[in-house]
Amino acid sequence: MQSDPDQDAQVFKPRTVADRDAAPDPDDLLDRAARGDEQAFAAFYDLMAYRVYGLIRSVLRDPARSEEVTQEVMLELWRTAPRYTATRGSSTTWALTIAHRRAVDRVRSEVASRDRDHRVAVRDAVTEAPDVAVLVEDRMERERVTRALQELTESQRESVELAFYGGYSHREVAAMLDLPLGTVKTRIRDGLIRLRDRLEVTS
Amino acid sequence: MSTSHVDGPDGYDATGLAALYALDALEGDDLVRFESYLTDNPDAQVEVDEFHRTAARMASATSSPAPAAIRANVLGSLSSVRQEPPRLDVERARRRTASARRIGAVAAAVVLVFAAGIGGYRIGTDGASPAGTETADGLTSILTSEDATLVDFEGEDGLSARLVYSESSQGGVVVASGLPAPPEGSTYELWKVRDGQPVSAGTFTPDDGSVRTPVDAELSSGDTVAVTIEPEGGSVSPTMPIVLSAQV
Repeated sequence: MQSDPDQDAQVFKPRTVADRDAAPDPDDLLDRAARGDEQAFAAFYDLMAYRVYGLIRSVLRDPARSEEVTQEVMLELWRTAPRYTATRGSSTTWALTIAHRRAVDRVRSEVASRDRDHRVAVRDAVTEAPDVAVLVEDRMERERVTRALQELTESQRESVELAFYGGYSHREVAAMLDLPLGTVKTRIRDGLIRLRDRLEVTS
Repeated sequence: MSTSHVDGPDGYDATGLAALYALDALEGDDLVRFESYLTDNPDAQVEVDEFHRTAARMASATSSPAPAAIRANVLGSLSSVRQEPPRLDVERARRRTASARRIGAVAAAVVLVFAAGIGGYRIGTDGASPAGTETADGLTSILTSEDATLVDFEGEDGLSARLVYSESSQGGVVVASGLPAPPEGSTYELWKVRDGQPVSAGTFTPDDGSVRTPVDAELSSGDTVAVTIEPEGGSVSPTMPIVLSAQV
């Protein structure tokens, strides 16, 4: 990795709505990052950071650990960018798949010392200035996802949400809900199929 | 020790497991079994990819501004983090692997019978034997051990290989067909990992996808044999990721 001190010193400003039309697509940014382009990765970071951090935070809950895992995930994305292949899905899917996996890995590695019901007090942290374009886009997406989730049966939604947003394994979900494993499996399968079908038409 | 091969029996709910897998809701043996199923049934990957897309959409609903320190730390570290070499030709490797596995299983059985016919064939490990015969002899020696066992490697990106391991010989042979060539200027390198410490166990390059190479290290139960991609000539310590790994 060649390092250019001038380039390192550059400050990357959050994007504005006006920038957005001209903003490159995340797949292109990742493709450039895969060839060592740090500026492209910085732009990719800005597109992904809210979702990556928010997802990890949803699973881990603790802000300090979420911060740590987000940092690890972001560096993993940089490191493995050359291995990304578009045939398996978009760069966004790729990034969020890795983020969820790492958050869940962290939870499971700490399972012995963890008290999942204990909410750690939210630590004050200086957050990025809100990026209006990203916020708007994410809010629309949030509404679509929320609507799709509401189309699941109550029991499907409960199992899917515990597994995905809570980071619980299907065995843990079954234990928490005091349900047979097969029932939880069926609920998650049917719920995710329904979500897939609903979200496909609104993408 | 047993082989990790899993067949999809009738009634195996591949879709249900793909859904659980995409939500990272499988762990432990459940996870190992499904990943093994995916290796043997590359078509199932399509469904997993679709569910991953759905999961990524769900992820957007949790979006939240990230602490500024993360950005500074990440972008400040980029120049010191080495990027990985580009991906191997995965789809081709998968297709070849899928058919090679069935043939491979038969071939392995044939080789076992053939090797058993030869009888115990001792080899020296002094490195004096000419290149080529050492590989063949190493393979024969391991295969003729009474306790020769097949262990499937867990492979990244659909890569697959087998380890023929003999506890009594304290040795192993890596066997593969349909393994793609490593990127130009690089080689596969074997590692014996014991107590978390990797020790180089030789390098190899597939010959038209085919591999028969002895693990150049004493193995015992509990060791892991791992494969990484390294610059030509090999490295003194492994470069992540591990592309294949098997526990003996």
